[in-house]
Amino acid sequence: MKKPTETVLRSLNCVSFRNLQDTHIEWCAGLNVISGDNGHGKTNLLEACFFLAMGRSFRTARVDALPRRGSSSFSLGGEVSHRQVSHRLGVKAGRGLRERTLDGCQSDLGRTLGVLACLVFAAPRLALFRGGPDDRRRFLDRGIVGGKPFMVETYRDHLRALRQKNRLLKQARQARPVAALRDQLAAFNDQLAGTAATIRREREDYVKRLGKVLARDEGPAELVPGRRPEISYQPHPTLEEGMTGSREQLMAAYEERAEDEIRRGHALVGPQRDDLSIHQDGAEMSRFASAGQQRATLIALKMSKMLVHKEMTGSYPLLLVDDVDAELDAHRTRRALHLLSGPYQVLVASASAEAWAGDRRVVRHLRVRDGIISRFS
Amino acid sequence: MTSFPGPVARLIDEFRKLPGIGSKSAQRLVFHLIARPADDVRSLAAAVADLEEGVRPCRICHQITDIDPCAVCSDPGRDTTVICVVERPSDVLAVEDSGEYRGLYHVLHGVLNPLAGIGPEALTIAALEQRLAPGTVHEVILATNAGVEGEATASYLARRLAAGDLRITRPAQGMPAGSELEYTDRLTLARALRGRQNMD
Repeated sequence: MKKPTETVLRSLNCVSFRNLQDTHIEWCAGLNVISGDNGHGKTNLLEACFFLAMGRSFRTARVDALPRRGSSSFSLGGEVSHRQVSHRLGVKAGRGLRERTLDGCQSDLGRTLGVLACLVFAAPRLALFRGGPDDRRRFLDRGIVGGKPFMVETYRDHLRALRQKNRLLKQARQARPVAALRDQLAAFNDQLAGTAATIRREREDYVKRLGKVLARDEGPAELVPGRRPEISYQPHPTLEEGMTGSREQLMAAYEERAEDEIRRGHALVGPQRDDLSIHQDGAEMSRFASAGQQRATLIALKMSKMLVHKEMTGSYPLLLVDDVDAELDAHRTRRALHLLSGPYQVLVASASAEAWAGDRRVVRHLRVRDGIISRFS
Repeated sequence: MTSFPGPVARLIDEFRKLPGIGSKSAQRLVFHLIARPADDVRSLAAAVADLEEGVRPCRICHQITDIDPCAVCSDPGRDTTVICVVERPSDVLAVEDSGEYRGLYHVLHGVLNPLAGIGPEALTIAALEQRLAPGTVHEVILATNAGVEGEATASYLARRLAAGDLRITRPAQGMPAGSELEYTDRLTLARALRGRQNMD
């Protein structure tokens, strides 16, 4: 028997979002296709679903770019069924405004993620390879928070303590008597060592889970031409063999660098310097892989993320697929889409309506034209 | 838009400086006052003026008080060997309401917050050290709040105050009484799990 989809976005209400006409859309469990010519609003519709779940866009960091021209804000709403319980999500945002609700009460990312998480497959920007370590940490952290929403608080506390510590280090550099600051630095290091140990443990675990999925036969790594890609976590600070990265060990590592930190005026140790290595046959893919291999690896990693999310939470995230077909050759696209049909909900935006005609997996096909959404017939 | 008459605008501005009050609420409060009988308004104004005149920090524990030393510090029935350190004056009332505590207090009037420019010298820590100097206090309870700054302040104080056999403790963090596991927020639950105890 086919297992029922655990998490389903049942509907979406859009008001004043991008070029979309104000609308109410019903989604189905399984494969939903949105087709239309480029520039008509397919991706905007995916973006609206993503924003509803995650409180941000996957295309821009500028919230004020999202309201329809002439409006200062937009609102989105939707019904989600999660483990057979129905929930109402809402978000209202614009310049200087971001309010979320879950079942009518004020909510935050952590709470909302517990009900609906999203994963996007969009034109890969390859920041994972071409960007800095912060891009790779973000890739890990978003996956971790998706699987363990309460980690939102740990990351927030870590960032806050780090900012406090950096301010102290800056003061220490600016000729205040350093001795008076040392005890305060130690107090914030205490906080940091605690959050750092948790973040380190979670990242290590998450990379291990991703690695296992990548190593599977017939798994997502099959999409990548050549040898199977592998990943490894590079925590900071590196500790001696046998050390687990406990709070006490990290505290000692922090203290060891305290003088350097005071001299440099900013924090030098901690998970804010972690990195992730993605390699193929022992060679760093950022340096040695072709753009095609990198793109395929990115998609494979995203698929692995999805499987790990299922492993961690018991349900799949909502998948949003934006024109993956443009990025891979036909054979791999078919393979990717084969992997994409399973007991989960997928919304695919595609420029070609014909490609889906007659595809029996499609349970709903919508068409977008000038921001107006209609049933495809 | 026409602006409010001078005195109205001034009072709205003053109300807006209060925590949790935005422009709309400030306006509502002011127009509510305008509609009240003059005696009510005068009595409010007098109460506000008395704050300046009649209230000061207790010279021992720094709690806000109208008699100095405050009611707790001058109560002979209190246990003078324990001091509970809190962030704000209102925290004293919260601990008192628990009915669990008979010791003394010390109000820090804030927590360490380098980003806001608040260091130890801006808090009442030196005064706390003076109270501990004679050695008659056996336990200090660090009851600062559980956020990053509150925790860091507790950890700072634990180091700075450590001396001899002075016992330094921090209140346990756990499940709210009468709460069901399912409805406890996850941060509280995570902390409660971390601070779990043997059943014996």
